[in-house]
Amino acid sequence: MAKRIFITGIGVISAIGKNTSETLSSIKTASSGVGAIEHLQTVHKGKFPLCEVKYDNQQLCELAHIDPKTSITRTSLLGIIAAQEAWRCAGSPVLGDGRTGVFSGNTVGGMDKTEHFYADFMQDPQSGDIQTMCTHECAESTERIADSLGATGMVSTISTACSSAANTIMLGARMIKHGLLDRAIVGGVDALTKFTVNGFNVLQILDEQYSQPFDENRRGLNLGEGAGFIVLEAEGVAKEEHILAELVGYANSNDAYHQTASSPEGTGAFLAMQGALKVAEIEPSQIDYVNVHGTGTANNDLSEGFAMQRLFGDNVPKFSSTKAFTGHTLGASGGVEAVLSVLALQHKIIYPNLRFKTPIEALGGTMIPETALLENQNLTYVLSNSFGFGGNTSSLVFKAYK
Amino acid sequence: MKKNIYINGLGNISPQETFYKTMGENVAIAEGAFFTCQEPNYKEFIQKKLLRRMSRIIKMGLATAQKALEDAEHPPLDAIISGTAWGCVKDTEKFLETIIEHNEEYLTPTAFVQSTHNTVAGQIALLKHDNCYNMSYVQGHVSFESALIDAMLLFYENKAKNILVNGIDEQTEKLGILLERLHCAKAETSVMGEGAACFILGTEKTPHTYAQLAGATMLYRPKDKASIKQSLQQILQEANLSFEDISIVLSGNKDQSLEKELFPEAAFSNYKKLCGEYPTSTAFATAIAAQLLKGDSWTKTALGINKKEEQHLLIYNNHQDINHSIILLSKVDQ
Repeated sequence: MAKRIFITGIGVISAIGKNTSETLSSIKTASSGVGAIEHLQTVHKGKFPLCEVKYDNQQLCELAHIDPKTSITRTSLLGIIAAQEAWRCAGSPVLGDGRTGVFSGNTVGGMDKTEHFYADFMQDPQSGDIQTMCTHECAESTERIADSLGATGMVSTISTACSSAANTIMLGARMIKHGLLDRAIVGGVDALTKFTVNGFNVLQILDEQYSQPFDENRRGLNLGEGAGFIVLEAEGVAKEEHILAELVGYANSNDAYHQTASSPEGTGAFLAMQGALKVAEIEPSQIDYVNVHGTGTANNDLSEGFAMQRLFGDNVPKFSSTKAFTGHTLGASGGVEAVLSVLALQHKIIYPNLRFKTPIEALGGTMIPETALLENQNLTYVLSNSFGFGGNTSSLVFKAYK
Repeated sequence: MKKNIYINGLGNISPQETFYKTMGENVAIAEGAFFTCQEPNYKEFIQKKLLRRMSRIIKMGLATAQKALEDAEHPPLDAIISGTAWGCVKDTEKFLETIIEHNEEYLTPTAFVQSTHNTVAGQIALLKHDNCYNMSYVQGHVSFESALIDAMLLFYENKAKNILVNGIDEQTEKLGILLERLHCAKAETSVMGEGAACFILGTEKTPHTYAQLAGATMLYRPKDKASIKQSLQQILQEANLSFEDISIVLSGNKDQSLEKELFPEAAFSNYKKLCGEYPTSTAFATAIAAQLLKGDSWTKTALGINKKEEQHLLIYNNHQDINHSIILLSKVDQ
């Protein structure tokens, strides 16, 4: 009989807080993290908002208890802060026995440092601090996180665009289920860079105002940064007092429609959600809340909406996009939203989809997300969606631990 | 549930003539600090209008995928799993350079879109209209191993019968300069390479089967030699083998003292003389090992291996004592 997978720790940092409790109180007070650009050096300052983590790298070093003179990327700092919180939350287990895996997802690795180096490099190929390039690869932050925790088991990094973190959660669960590991620290991290901001800008999917996911008049997404990690432990390893929730379903599929756009009918999204429910061995009607991918782009929300209607029929569960709070944290989003899903189950709450006004007409005008914080909700199953470029679609199902 | 896993198809673009042949009669030798691939005529595999926009890594990734699928007689795929450390370097450079040069203005999306690490895996799905599981690992020198282990898990979970797995990394001129500055690339002593090797793995043996994938594992910062030995022992044990059963070791290491001590009877060859050093070089090693186990004598000659009989082959690569990779392959009796 396959082992159950428990979540025993959560950790998060984003534009709405440097830890779980700040995140929760920002949500409860409906304080969004979207705002004018402060930290990122870009010509777009003042043109569109971002969801920046409100600390510079020096301050992040202090939060991570790292000597500010260390050569370290913003990506690694954010990752270490969230992963450490998750680990402490799980009771600070000793990780040196090789049975704990560390899997992290991200999209651009140490690009935040690389893009500064590259400006010098383009002037003169022999100039610029060459050691910067040692922190460029996506795997570098994962290894830093593992080292900061003293984990010596399997370490790996997934990069499937915006579903990266959700996929590491799935990987950790499968490894534990198969007995390869007892525990996995999984999630993702991404720091804002000129590279991504300009990439999304040229794709014309950035909102110049504050984003309005799932609204008829949505204009695009607000990019964000951050990290979200959870600790998965096998049944028998997890200590009762640390169990926050259970991970019961997960699936990945591919939309196979276009490199960046989602198919109009949301094939990949549908298959991922359906697959996750199948692994969880539950019916669509048992889902109490969906934390949607809901980026706020014309294309995603329509396609995801169609997929949900196809899966749930006339009984679409309560849903909301928390990206109106955190922005789209790309490779980290699946991790950030996994933390939020666990918090929802723990605190029996459903999050408001900020700034929603008008339902999408093409979805029949019936797809209305929750617009206020709902408390005392009887939640058992929460579904979380993460979709990315390259047609990559992933869904996770979390279950309350009662 | 453990299962037998076979390599039923492969496509291999490398600095050697490995795409159209198993191995060239004349082994290519690196000139200077870099070893670049001998590339095929991509028009045979990819539509001309699509080719124009594609960077080299995408072309290499797609051509090897097509070749591997053809080789395996097009089984329906249940998963597409990619391993790449450097990702789509050329497109990343291109987009970064335009941002800097034009001060964040006058950009076009193509390079950005294609710079994503999962571009190749996504493009294979797109080309095959395949909605199956799609994953991309970017774990430095064990990116390919991560992909292999994921594939093995899917087989054990009964989630797949046939899986496409690849290991791909491209060199560029700029990356070359960086690697030279980092003292990674040096003529003769440290030649940097590149390559794309793609495999169709299946749970059923076919008349074309190359070899059995008997095990794969990766170690992160093992604390001493004893723990590496223990991992080797475990992977052999799971395949019901002992150290003496290994007849060939393809090593990626300059210092081979550990493996020579553990496998005193085996024939050794450093496969990197044929492909250079790059993060997914173990995918190249796996491809030529599969050819060798299927009885290809050119590959044996190129590797300088004289052993007449080979039953079990081990690939071992240690990157800076941080990432260790172990892959075990066995001969298949037809």
